[in-house]
Amino acid sequence: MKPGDIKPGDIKPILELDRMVHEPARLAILTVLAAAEEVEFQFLQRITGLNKGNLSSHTQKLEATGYLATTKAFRGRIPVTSFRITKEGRKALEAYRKQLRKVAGG
Amino acid sequence: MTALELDRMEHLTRRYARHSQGAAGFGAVLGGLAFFFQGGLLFGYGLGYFLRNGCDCRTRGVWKYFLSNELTPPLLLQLLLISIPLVWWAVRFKLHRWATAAYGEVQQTRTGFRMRYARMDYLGSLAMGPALLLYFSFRKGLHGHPAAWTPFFLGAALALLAPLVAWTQRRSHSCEDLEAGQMLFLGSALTLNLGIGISVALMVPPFLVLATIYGVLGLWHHRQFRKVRAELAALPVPE
Repeated sequence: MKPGDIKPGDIKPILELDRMVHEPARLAILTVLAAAEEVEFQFLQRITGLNKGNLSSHTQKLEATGYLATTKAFRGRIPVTSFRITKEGRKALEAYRKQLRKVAGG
Repeated sequence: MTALELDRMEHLTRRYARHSQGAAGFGAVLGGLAFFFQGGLLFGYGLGYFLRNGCDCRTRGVWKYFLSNELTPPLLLQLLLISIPLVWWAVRFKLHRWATAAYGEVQQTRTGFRMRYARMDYLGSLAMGPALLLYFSFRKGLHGHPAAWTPFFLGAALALLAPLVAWTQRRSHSCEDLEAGQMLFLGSALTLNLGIGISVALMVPPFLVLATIYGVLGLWHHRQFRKVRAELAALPVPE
């Protein structure tokens, strides 16, 4: 497909993609969370390769949108932060995957 | 970020959640060792008693002797039997903390089947211990043997701890090692009551079978966990 071949209607599914999920770091976070019940910050940081600041910023955005829930607890004297994907987050991720398949499949 | 990378992350997370549970296999290995120890203690006690006191084996046979209910555990054996599952429980939780210290804890997704299984396991262990103890006590007429009351009540207390182990499983319901723990508590509860209908020959073979099963299972989990940990270690370190 050449750039000239794209018709005005073709771009619509791309524009409809959920931007909150489309961002690569947030997509990775949601993908990991969807594969488990609850994930600790330490593991999420390791597997996504994000630094602490970036990970905190993205999880805060996802939490504000209602896509993930955060639990803060203490293990002895060590603070432990855990995340879990919400129903809305799971739905959004599934919808995003469907939309992306639609875009890629034509 | 490619779809392949996302798939890999998802797969790695599932595997880590699966194999890091139960102290990365050490919980089951420890359970296997505890079963082996329980079985060994009982066998040693039975054999020692037989060698020291002998029996009228010409008329009864050795096997029938070990199947009989004449062997009541002495105080030291009772204490050891009580301590085995308790030590397993304490060490298992310490080992779990140690195993997940590097990369944190990940809990497996709870499916409907797993939730139902955990509930059945809990209710089963809640009912099984006291039911077995009551059966054996009534069979032998516990009311006529005051000396058997102490091991009976100690056994009942241990049997009631088994559902507590099952309760901890509600959040990590794939842990075979916690099932081993429940059986350890029930096993100790029953062997404390050797004198009231539970014989050495009845208890030792199941202990040795369980020791083998949980030992092999735990080692398999640990091998898988090490592979996952190596893959995680190979990922680029964030700045």
